[in-house]
Amino acid sequence: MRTQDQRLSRRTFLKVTGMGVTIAAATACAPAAAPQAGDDEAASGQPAAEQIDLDYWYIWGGQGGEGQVAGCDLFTEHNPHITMHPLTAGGVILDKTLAAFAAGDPPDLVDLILCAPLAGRGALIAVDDYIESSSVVDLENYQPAHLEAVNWAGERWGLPANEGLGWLGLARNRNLAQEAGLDEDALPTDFEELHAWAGALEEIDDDGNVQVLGMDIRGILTYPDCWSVVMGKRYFDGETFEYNFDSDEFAEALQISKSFYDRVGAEKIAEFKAAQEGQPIPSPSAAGKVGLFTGGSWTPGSLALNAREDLEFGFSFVPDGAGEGKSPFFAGTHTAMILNGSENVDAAWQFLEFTSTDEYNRRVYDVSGFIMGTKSFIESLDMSSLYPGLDFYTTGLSEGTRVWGIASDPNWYLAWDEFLALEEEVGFGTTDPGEGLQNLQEKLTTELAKVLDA
Amino acid sequence: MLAFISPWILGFLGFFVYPLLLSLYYSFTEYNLLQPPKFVGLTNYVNLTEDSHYLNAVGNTLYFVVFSVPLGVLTAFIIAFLLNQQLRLRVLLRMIFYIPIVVPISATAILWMWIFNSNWGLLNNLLALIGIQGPSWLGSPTWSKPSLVIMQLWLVGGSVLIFLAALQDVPRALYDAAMVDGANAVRRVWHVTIPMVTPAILFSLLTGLIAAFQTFANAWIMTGGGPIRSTEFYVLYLYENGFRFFRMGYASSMAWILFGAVVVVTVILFRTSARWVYYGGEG
Amino acid sequence: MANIENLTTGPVAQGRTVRMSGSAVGKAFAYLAGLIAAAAFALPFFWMVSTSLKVPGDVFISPPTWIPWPLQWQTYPEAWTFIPFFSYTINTLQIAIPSIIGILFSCTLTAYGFARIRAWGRDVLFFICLSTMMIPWAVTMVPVFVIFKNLGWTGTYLPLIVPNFLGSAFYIFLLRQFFLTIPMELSDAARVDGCSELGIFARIILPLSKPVLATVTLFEFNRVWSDYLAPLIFLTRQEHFTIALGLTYFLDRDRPLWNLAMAGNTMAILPVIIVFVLAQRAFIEGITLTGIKG
Repeated sequence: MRTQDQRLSRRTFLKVTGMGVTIAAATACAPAAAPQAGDDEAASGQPAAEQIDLDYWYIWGGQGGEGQVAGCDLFTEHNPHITMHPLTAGGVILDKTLAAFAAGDPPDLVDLILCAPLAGRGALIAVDDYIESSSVVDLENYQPAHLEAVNWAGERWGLPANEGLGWLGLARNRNLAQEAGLDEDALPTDFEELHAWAGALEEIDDDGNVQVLGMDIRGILTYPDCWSVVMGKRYFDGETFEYNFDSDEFAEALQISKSFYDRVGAEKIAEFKAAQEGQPIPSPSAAGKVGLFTGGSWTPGSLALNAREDLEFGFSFVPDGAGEGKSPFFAGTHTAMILNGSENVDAAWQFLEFTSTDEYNRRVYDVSGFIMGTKSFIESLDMSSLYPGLDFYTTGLSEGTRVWGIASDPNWYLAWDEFLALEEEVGFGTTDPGEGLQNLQEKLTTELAKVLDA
Repeated sequence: MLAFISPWILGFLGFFVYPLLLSLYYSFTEYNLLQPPKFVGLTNYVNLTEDSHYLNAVGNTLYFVVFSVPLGVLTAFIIAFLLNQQLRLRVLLRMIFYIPIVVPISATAILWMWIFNSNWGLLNNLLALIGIQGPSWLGSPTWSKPSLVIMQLWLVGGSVLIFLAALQDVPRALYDAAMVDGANAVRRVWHVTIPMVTPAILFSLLTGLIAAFQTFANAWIMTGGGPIRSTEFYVLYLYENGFRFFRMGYASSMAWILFGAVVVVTVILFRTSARWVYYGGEG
Repeated sequence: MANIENLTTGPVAQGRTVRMSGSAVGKAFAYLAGLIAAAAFALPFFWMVSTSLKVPGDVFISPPTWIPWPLQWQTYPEAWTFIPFFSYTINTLQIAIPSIIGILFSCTLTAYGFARIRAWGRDVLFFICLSTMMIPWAVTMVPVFVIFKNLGWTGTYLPLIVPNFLGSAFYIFLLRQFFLTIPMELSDAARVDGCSELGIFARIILPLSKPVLATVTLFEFNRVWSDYLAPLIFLTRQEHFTIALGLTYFLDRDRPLWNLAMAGNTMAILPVIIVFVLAQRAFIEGITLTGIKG
């Protein structure tokens, strides 16, 4: 019931504040979509614009999927000759896309979290020319960090779309912090202080069972990009095409991570991971069993909806591992892209273009609650009145002093998987960090050569 | 005979020959699914011998096969045997044993994580009753595979039904004859029941083996292959290479090695089966 | 023919289950073991239903609450409307029913050929048939997709249905194992009576195989019902999606509605349970071949 109430109150709130903005956006956009459509009509000419079908695949189901469907419907309202066929592909969206592409039957558009893996293998259409001639898309309106997700080899291959704020914040269970007598005005700014906090928060019984985990370090490592920004060293340089896993910074990162494994024993950390599977946030944290953990902008909403009612959570920057006293912030997003092989590239671009408008993002948000991180859209929302703590993820974009996006790495999926496994192996003490990083560096470099050769 | 098996022959020619040959070809190429495959000869096969993650996955899979298959067949047989007694409620009981297969794996997986949780999980609470401090099941590289084997035992409902169907077919006259000869219950099971269900045992063993070599969903959903790759099974690693890491050629060479290995195991099992499987139809 | 039918139907069918011994101890033991095992096996179902009746905040309390209070029955109507439950169910049935028919048709015929007709090369062919199970689907999926595309079947249910009319190694193997146990004397007697091979198949072998045909039906229904990857890969229109795909919608990343998901799961497995109950009848009508082997 509580869920219902919250959803209702959020909706009511939107109706009040959102209305004016929506109308403003709608009027602003109506002419904007027109010139592009005009081009098409001029080209196709008299026969009343022939009907075009576009397949568009995204990851989300449920409420998130409804938001996508609503956004597509809105697009068709503006462009009656284009029928959208939105489809939820779930967690296997990449797999489904690859299989369809290989079989010669790709969708027109797909929404993933970065472009480089497909762009690097010739599966996407570059959109720089479209962006340049567009009167709708304004690159200035995107967060610079989000734009990194569409890059590969000096060109842009899509646009940030549908969802994206910050993907790295340190969440603390305020109830536990207060019980432990910690000063929430002096949050940890380096990893030593983080250890002190973890020590004060953790609770281990006489049998060695972890009743409260002080700091769940794994969250930082959700993506290697998180460590990139924390350590101030990009794991992959998209301009020189070089990996930096063999750097001191990443060796240091693994040591930091291991030091948190060692606090309670690697097996306990691994068990938390196993217990988390299929869930967005550590389930024990929902039950109040983790003091500190990290998560993206979806965490506040998820906690508000799923955690015990009496629990409160606060959010802050993750410590700077580079010792420069900066506030590191990883800003990920989703990106929509056009597949090479689409029979209606112009129409697909029209949709892509439309995703940049406040009107579209407002509609998606109204239905699904997904927040797109374009500057104008964030400004139109009153973050502080949404889920408690969500505002950290928007202010983080402006107040973070080292705000980076995702690496434009064509082997990002491989790097992600392998680095995560390596982190665990180091945590268990079965692999030497230096040696593991060296192997990872070589493996990725080999794979990169294949991409660059082709 | 050809007329009877023609549906399968059509299906085989239509949907298997071409995919099989194509995947064999892919295994000699570098293929990322997005660009045309590039012929590289035996490179993939050679690289596999040096890939420590691959060899680790082979070991994990062999472990899983060796423990889960025989134990699974045994468990299924015992349950079917019990169900075949004239128990009251047996209709309900049959359904209950089948239910774990019907319940979606997402629900099953969450439940088992709770059962295996070392702090407050069901299993360790039960063990504590008899004074044993249970391990951290899914968190420990030593216990993660046994955990998945235990869970597999609980998904034997399909084999139970097959054994039940087989037990239904055991002629009652055989038991009567054995009784007249003065055989006790254990001897009747050993000399009548088991020989009569050997075709079902062979079926369960073989399909169990083939499925266990390809085990995927349990690790995919529950452990993601961890901790420290202790549950990274063969097909999980293959799948990730093919559809996540853009190495379909490499994945195809893995598939063909697996294919070869399973064929060898199956041939051996079939050859030996002549000695212990009893078919009424050939008698 | 007549005497064979007498042999295979009638009063003998009743004595199908075996009384192991008169010993009450043995029976009590069987009961106890059966009930304990059943309790363990029923656990996930119980947990699923219990979760479906919880408020969201209570789902991940540890240790778990087994019986929530008060029971939240409204999750069921909510789940029913949260996804297009009815139309996804109809879609799934549209795949399941032809698939079962296809499997029963193709696999019984093929298994009969492999089990009961002697011909040169039969066992080699059978082994090739078996071997089709041994290649991981992950590597044949893309080439199969190419075939479906060239046939113009993508976006329809055909890729999920038609292959079932062309046999499936698992069921062929299962049926073969059962057909092999049926005494050859039955077929020989029928041949003497002038019965054709097809006649033997239809009038003798199939009626004798009811338990295993029921098993095949149940397996195939369950397979189609819970199949996730194949529909996801081959269907390209959301309105064609199946119930197994729809069930995943409840578990959004930032709004995982576990209670609704479990209510949906509970409703979704009902058809499988119904098929199970129907198949039970076939089990119970199973025929025991008494006396033939003497």
